[in-house]
Amino acid sequence: MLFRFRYLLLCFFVASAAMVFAQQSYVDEAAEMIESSLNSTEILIRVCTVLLILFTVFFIGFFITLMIARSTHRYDEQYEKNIKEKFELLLTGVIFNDDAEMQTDEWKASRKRVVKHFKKRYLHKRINKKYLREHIILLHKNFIGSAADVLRNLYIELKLDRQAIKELNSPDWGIQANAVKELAQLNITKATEKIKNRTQHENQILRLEAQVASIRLDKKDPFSFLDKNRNYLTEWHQVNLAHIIDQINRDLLPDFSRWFVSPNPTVVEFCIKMTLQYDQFASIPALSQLLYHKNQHVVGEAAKALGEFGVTEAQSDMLYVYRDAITPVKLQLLKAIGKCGNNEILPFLIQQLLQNDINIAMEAANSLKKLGEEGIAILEKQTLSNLYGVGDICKHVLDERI
Amino acid sequence: MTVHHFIEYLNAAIFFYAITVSLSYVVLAVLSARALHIYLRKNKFIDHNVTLTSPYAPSVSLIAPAYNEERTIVENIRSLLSIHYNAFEVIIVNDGSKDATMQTMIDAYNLEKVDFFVNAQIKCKTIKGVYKSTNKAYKKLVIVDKENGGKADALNAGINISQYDLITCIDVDCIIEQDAILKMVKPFMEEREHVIATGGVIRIANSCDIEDGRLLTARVPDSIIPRFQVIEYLRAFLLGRMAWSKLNGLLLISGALGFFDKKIVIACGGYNHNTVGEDMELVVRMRCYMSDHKRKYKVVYIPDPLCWTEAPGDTKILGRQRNRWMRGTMETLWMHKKLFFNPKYGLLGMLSYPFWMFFEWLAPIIEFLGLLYFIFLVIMGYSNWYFFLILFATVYFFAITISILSLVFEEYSYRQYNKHRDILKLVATLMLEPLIYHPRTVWWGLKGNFDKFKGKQAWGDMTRAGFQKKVIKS
Repeated sequence: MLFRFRYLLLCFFVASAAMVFAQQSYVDEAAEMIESSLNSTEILIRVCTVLLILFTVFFIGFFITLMIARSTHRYDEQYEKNIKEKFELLLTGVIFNDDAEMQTDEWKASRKRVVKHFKKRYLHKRINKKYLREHIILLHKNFIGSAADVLRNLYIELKLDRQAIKELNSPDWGIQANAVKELAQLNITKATEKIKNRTQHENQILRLEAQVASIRLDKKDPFSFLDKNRNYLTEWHQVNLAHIIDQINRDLLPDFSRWFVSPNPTVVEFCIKMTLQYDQFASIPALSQLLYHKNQHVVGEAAKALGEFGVTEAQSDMLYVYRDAITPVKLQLLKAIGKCGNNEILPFLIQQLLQNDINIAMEAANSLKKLGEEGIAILEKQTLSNLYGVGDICKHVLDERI
Repeated sequence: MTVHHFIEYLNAAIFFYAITVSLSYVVLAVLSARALHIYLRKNKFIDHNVTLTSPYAPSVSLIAPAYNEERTIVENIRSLLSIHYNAFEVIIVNDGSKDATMQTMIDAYNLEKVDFFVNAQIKCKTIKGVYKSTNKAYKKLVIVDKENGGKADALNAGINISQYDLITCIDVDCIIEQDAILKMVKPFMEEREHVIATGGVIRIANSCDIEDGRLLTARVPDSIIPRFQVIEYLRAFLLGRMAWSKLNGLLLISGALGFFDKKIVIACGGYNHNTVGEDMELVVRMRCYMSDHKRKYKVVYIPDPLCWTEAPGDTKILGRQRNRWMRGTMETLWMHKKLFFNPKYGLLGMLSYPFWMFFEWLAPIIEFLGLLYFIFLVIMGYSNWYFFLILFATVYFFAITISILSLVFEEYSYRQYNKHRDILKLVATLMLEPLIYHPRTVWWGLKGNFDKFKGKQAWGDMTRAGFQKKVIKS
């Protein structure tokens, strides 16, 4: 319809234009108008000239910037490569010595020479300091044991830690976050309190780095930031915290159920995950209580954990909360029931299999299969069902190749 | 209204239009610079390996339609299966290929038909069978064999088959960077607001070194037509979409690589079969859906180069592609005309939609009319040549300044082309672009308009030279 209308509109304009030009008087009028407007174009010409000069200058400026940037980047890359090669030679000389050799006076003297050499030759330039810090961090990430300790000690002897601690006072969140990351990586605890003050920082990156550092550096209460965490813990944030927790000594891990009462549901979710990951069976009663949490995401996460723990006793609670749960949580509850339920739950699962929601039916079928022989027998029987989708769902679930 | 008034209004309208277009480019450039700076700064602290090893990272379904791809399909699937991610499945939808695509896949991956229950939540043509490999090494692979229904239909079939909550729709013949999923999944995990879609930068792979479905070295294309497109893509992705993403006003996520929240895609009814611009139409529909349901959401764009595609190498094929893009734009705008300056849809209705309407759809028409008007002035002897030359030079330098700015952005961000000679080649290309390439894009845009009014619906044949020689027809 619109297209036809536009055709008509186009025809109208063409016809109007034809009529206009058919009448000489109009043409004359147009000529006069254009001539008068041409006289007024002088100001436009001036404006255009100014703009032309401006754009030309910008273009040339950008071109020069581009070429200079390219040359500078190339120079920087080459310089970085060369200086890091030199650092690597020096650092590997310090790292690769056996432990016995490291105790000798000769080794200690040689190490002193290296430190002196670094200071005198390279560390007067800020850029070299930056590259050296980066390189020590990189090597430290890839080494454990005495080699990592040597690198850490060298970092301290070169007083690079002082600079990082100084950078914690920078108004720039990026510089602060970088310093926090560096101190955490090298396990330098001098500024732990200062870092902990940043665990609730408004900047997401700095906050995360500070929390990661707190977990690594604080030996007394590394997870205290969870107590007062009012910020939303995004999935990304949780993944990063979980990653760092995986690297610390298991003895330092707290009882994560301590935060099940947190007013922040994302903290509760995260702690449920950690409870499961670190097999904190003692938290199972508290986990069961979370099935009645007001936040549905927490309920889903609790159900998942209870399922993984195989807590058959939670089956009745799961059935109770199932009724009023939102669909994604219902799916999680069904999945959990499949993992922790017993044969008493079979009638409920059959009921779910035969109702109209395909996703729920599919999950119920999966759970029936997981419950073992009796569940599988039910599924085999239902493959002949005339109800929409039920037979095909059962076949799908029973097909081991999928 | 007299002719005097008419011409005066026409002049004023053209002037106002030109100023608005130019200013909008400047504003977008400033916003992009800011957004890119923030992204790069944040990115320094991101370690994607954390996601790679995490059991808490979301699972992803990769969906790739295939039509007559028998010569390259085995290699393409291998490349997709080797992507760096932990929990994902690769769904290849054979869209009724007329060649031996299906048999080639069956033979190469030891496929056999399974009793797969298809949860047909979105309409699509009949699925003839779902196949899985008997080889455990390919357990992530699912092959769907269906009747031919076009790209949108194939993607819908893939969505029905997919088992995970995040889906990514890709062109099977594109080269996806190994860490593409890791990067694209991040906004879904990171944002507090509901992210419904993410898109990444598409780059031109012509003349690049490619081995085993992986890009080894990026090079500036040897021939001029793809080189023009390099400039065009850099400008569109680094200057345009980055800014629109910052404003949360992005209307288009390229069909070559897009990530979507499956629940929202299904709630919206999936890809539309009735348009040749199904990628843009889906994003607009998803946004409308979220606004209609008063739900806060985001569409995020990532400036990292994640996908490399072969650009049309000659004007004939490029013309068909641009013609299709124009028709797709028109169809999407028409389907969602309710958005036009509709305050109910916020920025989407008040800015994004009108921008696309005036500066994407109408731009070639207005440019062409402007040219006609100029010719009329010349014929009638009313042209002021001095003014014309000054104005022309101003517009030309403005255009190339914007283009070179996108090169500056590239230099300060990803530096894919790392030789001085590459930069010089691209600068020479961008200087020629407004004179040689742009008039053609205007013409193709006009032709797209004309074809749309004629009721053309076909995609048009896309013959590609290929990383290996091949023909794609959809």
